Amino acid sequence: MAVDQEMKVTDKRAVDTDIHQELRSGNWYVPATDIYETPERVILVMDMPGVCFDCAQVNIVDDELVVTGHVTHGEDQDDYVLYREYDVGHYHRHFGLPPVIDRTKIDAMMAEGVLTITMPKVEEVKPKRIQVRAEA
Amino acid sequence: MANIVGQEEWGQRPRQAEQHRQPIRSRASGGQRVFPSIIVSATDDQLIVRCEVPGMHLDNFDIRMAGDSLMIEGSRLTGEGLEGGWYHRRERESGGFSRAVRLPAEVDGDRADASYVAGILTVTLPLKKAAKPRQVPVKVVEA
Repeated sequence: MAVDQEMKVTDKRAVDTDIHQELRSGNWYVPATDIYETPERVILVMDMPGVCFDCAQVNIVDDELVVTGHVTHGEDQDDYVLYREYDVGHYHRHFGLPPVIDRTKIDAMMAEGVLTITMPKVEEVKPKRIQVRAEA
Repeated sequence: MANIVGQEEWGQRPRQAEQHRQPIRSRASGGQRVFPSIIVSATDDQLIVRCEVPGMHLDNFDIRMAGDSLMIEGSRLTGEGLEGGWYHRRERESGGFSRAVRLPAEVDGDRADASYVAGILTVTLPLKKAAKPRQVPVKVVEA
């Protein structure tokens, strides 16, 4: 496969526990996220390696989308670690939900450690065609 | 337009206090390293190399032994299937990678095995007999 760009390691960003006091225990990271918008919907794609679909939670709290993922894969406590370049931890991130999102139709799907959240927009803001009529 | 990034996102602001809470890394330092980051661990009879590469399939990896090094190569292209829109934020790495991991012990490459679960690649490499820990009989001589 022809790939021009070579990937670089991006260090994991720790969750700010001054704000999230409830996350003081354990390692918590901010998942790397792509946010893509089309005229019909907004799509969030989040890297959460080590999280299975049943360990990911997506909640709407007030005007925020709150994503939490508990890591179940990625480290075996019985192994003796010889060399470590990254730490394994859980994931947490908040996103402001704009009013154009139809909150009743949000869909979340997890595959291979990637969480994809599809958020359709409310009908009123979707592109519409207005029929042009002839003068009566 | 959906102003999803204009809103305050919690846990985003870099703070000095946060620096002290960063988990301790044994050898890693921030900045430019070859993707992906790895953890090498061992049990009594095998070495285990793990890395986090979400959004792939096992078929997309090219994993092989080259001398005493394990080669992990592949490519991950993000954003496939997305069209007719625009990005507000693009944090997920996209591209190709090629990493050589010099192994600290002799392994039996023919019996190596790889699995890929929840975005974690795990390569297990059975140790060769000579490299396994073994009991050394110690004769105690009564003085």
